[in-house]
Amino acid sequence: MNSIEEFYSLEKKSDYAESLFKDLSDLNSRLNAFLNITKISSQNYPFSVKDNICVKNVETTASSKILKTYVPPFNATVVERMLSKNFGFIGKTNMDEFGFGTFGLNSERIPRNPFNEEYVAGGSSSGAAIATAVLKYHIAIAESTGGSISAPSAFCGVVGFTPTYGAVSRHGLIDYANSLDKIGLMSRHAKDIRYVFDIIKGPDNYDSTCIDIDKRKIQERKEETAKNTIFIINQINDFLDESVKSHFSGLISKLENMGFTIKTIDFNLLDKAIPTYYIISMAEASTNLARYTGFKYGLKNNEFSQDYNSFFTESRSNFGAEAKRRIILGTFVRGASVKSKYYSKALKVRGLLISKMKEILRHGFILSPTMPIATPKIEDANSLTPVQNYGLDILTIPPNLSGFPHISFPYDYDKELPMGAQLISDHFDDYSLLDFVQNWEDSFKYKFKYNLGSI
Amino acid sequence: MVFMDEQEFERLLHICRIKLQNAEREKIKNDIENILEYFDTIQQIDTGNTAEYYHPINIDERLRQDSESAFNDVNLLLANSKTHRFYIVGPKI
Amino acid sequence: MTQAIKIGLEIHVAIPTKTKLFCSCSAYNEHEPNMSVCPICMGFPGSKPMLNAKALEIAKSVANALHSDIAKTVSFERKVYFYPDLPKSFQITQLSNPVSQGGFIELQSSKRIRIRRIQIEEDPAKILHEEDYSLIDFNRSGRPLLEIVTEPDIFNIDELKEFMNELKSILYYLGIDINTELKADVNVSNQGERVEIKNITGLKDMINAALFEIKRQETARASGLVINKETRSYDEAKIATMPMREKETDEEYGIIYEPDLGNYSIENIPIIEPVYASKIAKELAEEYSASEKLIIEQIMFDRNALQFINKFAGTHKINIVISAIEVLKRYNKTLDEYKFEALLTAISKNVLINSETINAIEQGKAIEASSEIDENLIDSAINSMILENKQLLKDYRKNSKVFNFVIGQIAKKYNASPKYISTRLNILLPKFVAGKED
Repeated sequence: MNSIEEFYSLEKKSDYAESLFKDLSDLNSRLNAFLNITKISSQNYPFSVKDNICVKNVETTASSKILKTYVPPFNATVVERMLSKNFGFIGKTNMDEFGFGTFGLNSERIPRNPFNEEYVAGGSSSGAAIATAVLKYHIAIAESTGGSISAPSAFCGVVGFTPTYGAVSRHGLIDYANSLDKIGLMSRHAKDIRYVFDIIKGPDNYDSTCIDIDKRKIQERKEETAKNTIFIINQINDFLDESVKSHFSGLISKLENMGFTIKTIDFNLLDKAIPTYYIISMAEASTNLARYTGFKYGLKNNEFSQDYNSFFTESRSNFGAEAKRRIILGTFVRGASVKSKYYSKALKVRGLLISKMKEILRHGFILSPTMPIATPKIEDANSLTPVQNYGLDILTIPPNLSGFPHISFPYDYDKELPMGAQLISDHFDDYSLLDFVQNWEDSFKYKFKYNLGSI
Repeated sequence: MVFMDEQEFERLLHICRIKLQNAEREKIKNDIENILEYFDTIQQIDTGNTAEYYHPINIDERLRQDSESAFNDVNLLLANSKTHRFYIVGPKI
Repeated sequence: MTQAIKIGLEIHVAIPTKTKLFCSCSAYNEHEPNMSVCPICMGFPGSKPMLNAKALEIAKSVANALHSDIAKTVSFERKVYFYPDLPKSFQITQLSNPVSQGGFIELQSSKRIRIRRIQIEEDPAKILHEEDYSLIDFNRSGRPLLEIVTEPDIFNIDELKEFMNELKSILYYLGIDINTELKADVNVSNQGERVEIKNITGLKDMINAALFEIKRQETARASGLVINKETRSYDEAKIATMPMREKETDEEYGIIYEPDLGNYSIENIPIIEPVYASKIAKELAEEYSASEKLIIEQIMFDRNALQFINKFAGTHKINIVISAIEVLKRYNKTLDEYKFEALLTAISKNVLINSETINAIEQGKAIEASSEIDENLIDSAINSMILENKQLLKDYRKNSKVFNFVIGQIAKKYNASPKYISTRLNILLPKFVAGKED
């Protein structure tokens, strides 16, 4: 039985919805998981939605000042599908502005790690991870461009699943980078993710890039991937800090005992994935954010009588610093005079990375710690330079750039803080990841500090 | 460090309609120069005959039939803007 | 001698699909602003484009009609610039993989005006310019446009007119509405750099703009000024080109592949076969020894006329067919081929054509009856006029002036064929002369 079935099978007190709402609101005032909370009915299993995914009639801002007051007139496809299956919308979750961030710090209200409030929750799907870590019965609709599901899942000790690029419709997702954005799920149980993934995935008339992964798997797979082989890339050791290294080697031993064959392999392009990713994602993002000019939706500029260029420039001062950086850089790398050097070159490197990783993934999974460092304190993460920040995505970027499905799962605790590992499989082989984590959960029990909504 | 001269930076800011002032301007320009240096590291990679990958997987050819289907919530759509006699109000040209 | 004047065109044609290029909103303007809109064509956050299959079919048909090399697959790009009528602040257009490249339109002189490329793009919104703000209507936003770019092969205004007429005729026969004026950018160089004049609507303004610009460049050169590559706008009121306020040529478009769309193969999609009316007119004129000019006039923008001429030119005189077509226009009627043939027969027999006759034909009634009545009517009219004009009886064969006067009067009064009246007069007058009539 998954927790959805469990939720529906248990008898709830008459004030269930009331007390859940109150408890969650109280906790939220410290943790900042939610930007708004809706009281659900006790008849509906709750789901939260990352704030860059449109919910009709609910303010959706992608955590940006420039989109304050935007109320979408439509539901994202993924939200429609959830509502049609009787799930109850519980609120929009906090995130880094437009998805720009690894630690959740690019938000007006800083999200905090539920295991220790001095520490980061991770980003950019910070609120989704926190909500999953504090609510007993809940599933989070989240989104990843460069690792925004994996990172916060690892820091908050929950399972974070990022499907193959194109598996889930992006209709209603406020774009960061269209060739990189993927909608995914966070939960405490792989079983729940499987159940909900079946509901949300699949082609949609409103998204041209959404595909049928089951059909594609049949078309493209010649032989079944060996499910018992796990590859560890040697080069990751250059980037892991000591505590992560030692905990991770414990995981490897466990997996060997569970019957997996562990192999090490070289992958020299690993660190090159980072600049490649940022060039492509910033180039696309700078075009996606061009529409925010202060008069059709979001925060309004009322000084219409000034020259339109001044009007636009003034409106766009409402972006945060990271958004400004990315817009400027993204505009630069696709400029006619340097495009072949940056944008076009990065697209080729992406191709190279995909074919090299596919060579490995044909024979097994790739496993690594999700993040190269232990969970940082908020004040420490704040003092990182942009380049240092980007560098910490080294383990989550490769599958994200290449569109491979991947899953982050809790595998240990360092003092009280959770540690996550990330498993990658080949395109369209999403269910193998869920099988693996389901299996893992048979022998490893996740720990949580809060269990709001327990019945 | 990739150096960008003031004029070039100013033009770049104008192209994307972003204005920066004083301390913020200096910091961001500096950040950008550092990040560009980091970006330059991909020049060393030998990409041979690899094509430009616009998507990580092959996208199906999905076309829409030419039949009309009106959006049902135009009033909710327009409620997001300032309107005047059903026109959207915007900056003068 | 190198050609002094060179004109090139970038023409924007509205593709006649029912819905817009990337969404299912109706492509036809509603009377009220912002009625035919949705999150996609208004560029709302979260919206994604969905490509209209019909737009590809029509675009391919145009490319085929212009003898252009059609791409096997097409794709789209984003062109970024900031203007209140551009909802996403980028236009989805085609640069690297347009619908087609190359091609031509052949003029009467056999000169070919070459086509450089044909691409699909989306229309921006419509802006009403107010003093202290703009009012924007997104009904037009997202409508599919075809951009046809020519080489600077047009050397004078006559060629410009002929080219545009030929193009409009070809587009007409592909089902594209040419009543809405075509918009174009006109590039003019007069022994110097190319000057681009943007956003001109309709042939008349295109001609005026080109003429003004040719003169302006000539004058400037004569004064020793250098003409630089420039973008200008056209002022309809002043009938002059003006320097553009915004330096759009400086704009950095920062073009990238459109990542919300893929590649689309157009190899196997159906096309509408082209009709080259001017060529057909030439062939018909030769075959039936008729006036090419007369035929072109009829069939250039009228497929019914072409249908009838093709069908009946062999069995009837072309002039009669054309008369019949004119009759239909005069009375604002449409007829099927059978009824049209009946009309042809009626005209050949000099039957009086008036609204009664036409209605009868339309209803499929036999028209002999009504012509009989007319015969009597005409005969009595002739009788009265002869009595009024005793001069006619005095050697009417020599008295052509009076003879023709009578014919003219009766023809006018009864809307009848002069030939018929003449025939009747020639029959009746001798009887009068012979004194058999009183």
